[in-house]
Parts: sequence; structure tokens; C-alpha cells
Amino acid sequence: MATDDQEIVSRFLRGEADAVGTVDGWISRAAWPYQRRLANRWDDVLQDIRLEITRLLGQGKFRGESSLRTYLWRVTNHSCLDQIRADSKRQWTDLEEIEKGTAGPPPHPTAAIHEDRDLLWRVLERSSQDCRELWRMILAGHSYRDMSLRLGVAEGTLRVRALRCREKALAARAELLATPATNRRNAEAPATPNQVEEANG
Amino acid sequence: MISNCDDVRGMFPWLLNGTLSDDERREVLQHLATCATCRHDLADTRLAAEIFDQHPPAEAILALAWDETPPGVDPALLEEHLASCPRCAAELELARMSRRLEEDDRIVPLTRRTAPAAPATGWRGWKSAALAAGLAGVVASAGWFQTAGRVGTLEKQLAEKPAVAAPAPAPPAAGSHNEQLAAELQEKMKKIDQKEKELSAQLDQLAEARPAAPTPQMISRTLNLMPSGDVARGGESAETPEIPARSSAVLLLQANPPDTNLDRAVEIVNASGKVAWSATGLPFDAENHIYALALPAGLSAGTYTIRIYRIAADGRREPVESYAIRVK
Repeated sequence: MATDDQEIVSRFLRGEADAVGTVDGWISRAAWPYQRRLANRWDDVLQDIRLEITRLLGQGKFRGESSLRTYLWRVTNHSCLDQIRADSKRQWTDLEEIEKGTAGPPPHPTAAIHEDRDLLWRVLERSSQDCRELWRMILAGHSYRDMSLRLGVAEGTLRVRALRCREKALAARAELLATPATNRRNAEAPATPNQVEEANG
Repeated sequence: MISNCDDVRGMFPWLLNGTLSDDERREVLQHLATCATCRHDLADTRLAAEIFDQHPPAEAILALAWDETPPGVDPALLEEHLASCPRCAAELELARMSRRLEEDDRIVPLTRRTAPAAPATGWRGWKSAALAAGLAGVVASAGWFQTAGRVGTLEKQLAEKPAVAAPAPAPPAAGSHNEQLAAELQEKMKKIDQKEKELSAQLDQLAEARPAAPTPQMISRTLNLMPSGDVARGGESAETPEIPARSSAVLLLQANPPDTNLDRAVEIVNASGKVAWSATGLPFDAENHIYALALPAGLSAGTYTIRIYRIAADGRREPVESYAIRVK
């Protein structure tokens, strides 16, 4: 790690004003492009990033593989992207509403759906392009009549295709779930700056 | 009509995306109320929807933004996804913008106003804007003069240093920065010059490709003609109005007060008595007793008689007025 970076980290953790100002300036600059998207809670976002960076630096996660500036830039970008994605999470028709009045608990606990994003992405990678296109239209909010017209297939055929794609995706998920997680994830490609450091640590 | 479990299951994706009709939705919900198997199936469908609603991991987006190979992600799938997912494409662009801010400190991001400005009204808002713009101009000019002055001072200081002094001191940071900026500016100007040349060449090519513009020869004129007798070959008088061939002219033919409102027809007859052009429904200005006639194109040089006819109820043509013209 460069001496200057180490010094900035030390002074930042001691709360020295100039180091804090330097890091804060980098955070603001790195996060600036996201400001418009996160405007309604911008101050909170910046504060979350500051806390995350304080935590990472305090735990010695920054080991100097890159410059401190670049490291903080990536952490800030990662945090902002996470915030944007949390905002744009799709709101599905609520199962609880549908299941209202039915006997017994729902077959899948809702929490199970929000499982490892990495796993779900791997499942998506295994799906055929046709299936991805078909479901992308569903996710975009097209009715089956609209899709039938656009794709030039009968409505019944369309429903069967959607179900088959669903079955294949669920089968792929079950297969991946049976595989140990360490084999699923590319060990050379940890996900976040935190994970980079944790993997090295 | 939804009649069995298979029908219901087929509807699940569209039940989740909220596009079923009210009747369909009601039927599906009624079925779900009594069928545990289908409820389980619905949860599976929702899980599948989550799978197909996945986006590349944020670190893959960041890796792309930093021109790195996305870790552990199929590049083809990522490319396909970015091409069809505006959300991820926008994320990538934001990350790239952030990277540019990291790499180039000369880019100054504008701080966004956190509180909405009080609405300005009427000319006061305009005046404030003008004052602000003027003030900004003064500040910018002052900054420019100060910078220029500093550059001049630094250059002077450099020039005053002895040329043989060894080792040569490093140039001041501001000077080197300005030199760098100047070099970049020069490079940009060269590029602009090159683009201008390319554009000029393209315009020339375009001009060559276009057909030559016709020589300006359109002369639009209005002639006021009084009734005259028919003209015959060699019999035209010196007062006969002349009209250049291929010119545009509107002839105002003075007429006697009409005795009826019958339609008028017009013929243009050459000196040999041959009809060169004819038409019916000649417009007549009843207030000023004028026929307005646009001279038809294609009349060759020569003298012509414009004959006006009154069209009787039985279709017969009765001559009313005639006018002489000469096309040069």
C-alpha cells in the first residue's frame, strides 16, 4: 500500500479534518452521477457510504491492491448501484393478497424467493434465449393477448411455453442448489470490494 | 373460460404481472381458493419470475465501466442483457460517468440545488437572470484575467531565471498544467479544422451531385388588357401587349358588365386561328368586371387572341370579348 494512502487512512480513522475532507470529497465526486436518481434521500445515501467506508477502512479491508482513491470510488459506485436497484425492485402482485382466504400457509415462504442473487443469475445464464425473451415480455407487463399477437403464436401455445420455461428454470435452480456454493461462484471473481478484501484476508 | 388446473396454471405469469382481465383474475382466484396444488404452483411461478427478472451483478457493471472483464459472468449473456435492459444500460453509463470523474479532475460536477428555488415571476425573473448572467460573465472574465496574469507572471519568472543554472528547476505546476491544457486545446482545434475540411469536402461533393440550378428567369408579371379584336398573322398592332416566352404572367382582362351569370370559357388562339389552349370556368371578378387568367405555359412566340365565350344553357358558346397578346 502506498504510504500516502496508508497515512490518509490512519488520519481518516483518527478523524483528522483534512483526511476526512479528502475522503468525503472523493465520495461526493464518485457518487455525483447517481445524485439525480437518488435525490429524494441523497444525504442518507452519502451517509451510508461514509459509514460503509469507515467500516471497511476500520477493519483493514483496504490492502492497497489499488490506490485508495480508486478503491473508495468502486465502493461508492457499488453502494449507489445497490441503492438504485433496491429502489427499482419490481413490485409483484402480492401473493398474500391472492392467498387471502385460503387455508394453510403459503407453500413457499416469501423469504425463500429473495435468495442469493448470484444463484438466480446463474440460473438465468442457463436459460435459453427464447425463454429469457418470453419472460422479459411478461416482466415488461405485456398481456398474453398482446404477446400472442406480437409473437404470432396462439395464446394457448404461449402459456405452455411460459410454463415450460418456468419448469426449466426451476430445474436449473434445483441443480445449482445441489452444488456447493463454492463451486458455483467463480473464486477468482469475488463480488464486491469487501469480498475482495475478505477473500484475501 | 378457465375450467381446470392446467388452464389456471397457464394464467399465472399474467396473474403476477397484473394483465389478466377482471373476469379471468376472479376465476383464477376462485380456483386458487380451493386448490392447494395450484397455490404451490403459483409460488413456483413467482420464483421463476424472480429468476427471469435478474440483472447482472453490480460488480459486473462496474467492471465493464472500468474496462475490465466482468468477473464470472458470461460476456455474451451480459451483452445481450445490456442491449435489452435500459435499466442496466443506464447503470453502466452512470458508472462510466463516475469513472471519468475519477480520472479527470478538470471535470467539475455541478452541485444540485437541494431546495427548489422560489418561483420568479414576470420580468423580475428575467431581470434577475440577466443580472446573474452578467455577474457570471464578470466573474468569469476576472478569473480569466487573473489566470492569464498568473501565467504571465510565471512565464516572466521563468524567463528571468538564468539559462545556465543547473540543474534546471521543475516548471511550476500551474505552468505545466496550463501547457497541458494548451496542448490539448491545440489538438482539439486541429481536430475541428480537420472536421471542417471534411465537412467542406462533403458539401462540395453534394453540390456537384445536385443538378445545376436553372438560370433565374422567372419573371412574374401582371398585365391589364383591354378588349380588342382578333389578331391575324401580320396584323398585330404596336400596342399589343408583349409577354416574354416561358414567363409567368397573370392577365387581368377588362370585361364589359355581364348581362348574365352564365359560365365563361376561354380560348387562346394563335394567328393561324388554331386553338393553342382552352378552358372553362373562367373566374370573373363581378365587382371590378375583370377576368383573371394565368397565362398557360408552353405558348411559343407569336401573337395570340384570347377569346372569352359565354356558355349558354344549351351548351352553345357565344363570343363575348377578345384580347390580343404577343409572346416574345
